[in-house]
Amino acid sequence: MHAIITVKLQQTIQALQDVLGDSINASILRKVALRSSLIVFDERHQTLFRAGDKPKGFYFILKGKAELLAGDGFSYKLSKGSLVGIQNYLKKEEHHFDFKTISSKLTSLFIDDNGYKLLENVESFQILMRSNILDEFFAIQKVIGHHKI
Amino acid sequence: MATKQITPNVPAHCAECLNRTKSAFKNLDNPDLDEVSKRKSCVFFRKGQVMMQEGARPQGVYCIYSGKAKLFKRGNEGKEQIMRLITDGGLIGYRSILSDEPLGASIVALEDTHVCYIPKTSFLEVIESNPKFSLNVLKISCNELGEAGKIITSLAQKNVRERLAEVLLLLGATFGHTKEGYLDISLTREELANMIGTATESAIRLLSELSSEGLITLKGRKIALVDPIALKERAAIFD
Repeated sequence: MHAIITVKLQQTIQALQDVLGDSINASILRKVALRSSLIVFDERHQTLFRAGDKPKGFYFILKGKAELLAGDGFSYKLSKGSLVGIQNYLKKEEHHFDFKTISSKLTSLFIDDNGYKLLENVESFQILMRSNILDEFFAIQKVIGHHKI
Repeated sequence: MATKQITPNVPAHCAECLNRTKSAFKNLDNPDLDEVSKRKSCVFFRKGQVMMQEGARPQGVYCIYSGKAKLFKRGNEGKEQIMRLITDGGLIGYRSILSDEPLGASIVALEDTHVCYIPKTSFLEVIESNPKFSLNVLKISCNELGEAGKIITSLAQKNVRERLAEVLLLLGATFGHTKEGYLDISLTREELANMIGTATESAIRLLSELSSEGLITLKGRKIALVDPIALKERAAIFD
């Protein structure tokens, strides 16, 4: 008996298209899929990043949910379209917080410098990036505000 | 989810896998193989496709059924240093899972590659329950550590010419030769340069020198080792 084979490239292109929409150039989409790895977390509480990890890339959530754990019970939820660890990746700073899955299945694309260079000029990705950075910034501000009180 | 029958030749059960004898799964008994086979899935990577990336946390291991891959780290200026080439039976991603650390290197398919994906939980279950398997993984890890040590020594103590000769011999020993006598692996000149830690131009010049001295022959990307004994001397390998 022979195994059914998953074609990773097609699977990745489909998942990316689902999040970024059809407007993205097909050639760029294929290049991003070739240069990124599809990672499926299949349990809750799995680590995406741990505080202290070096930011070699970031996770682009294609399906499922994760959270940033900021201590003292503070957390910030991340879902489809979230770019996990984008702030630290752009600043080239070690991660300050843990990021863990909260859904029983999370499908993500790990994007490093090669993938980012291709995506940074894609409009739909730029929109996602802006909203992700702002959301994460306000969430961290809340944590800082709480600690001041 | 995109699934497609690409080639009919990857067996669904690990017991039927012809490459099992080359892999960490070689001594596993049928109940363990049943368990792994139930949980594994088969994945196809195109030539040039990233399989795993430095900094990510893999959620399983890949065991190569057919194909070749390179494992490399990127330097500060983005230049690759190829640490290892992996072929049939090779295990990828296990060290990151065992150490619970992000991957320390990236892996890219050098040709169309079929792999079996074993989820982290299944891999860890077999490690915990099967001492033979644990020992196999330990042996593989020790071998890889030894190979990494050789690369460090070679980079530190040998000149580029010696390193090139050494790498060509290593490629021959790892991947074998085609019927026509060429190395059975297609590497770009840049990849060859990245294996020996030099510029592409230097690698091209040195290959051409070895060719004009009659130690190798070149045909496009293809390389044939004509005089392995002389190459061994060039590589400063004395045993």
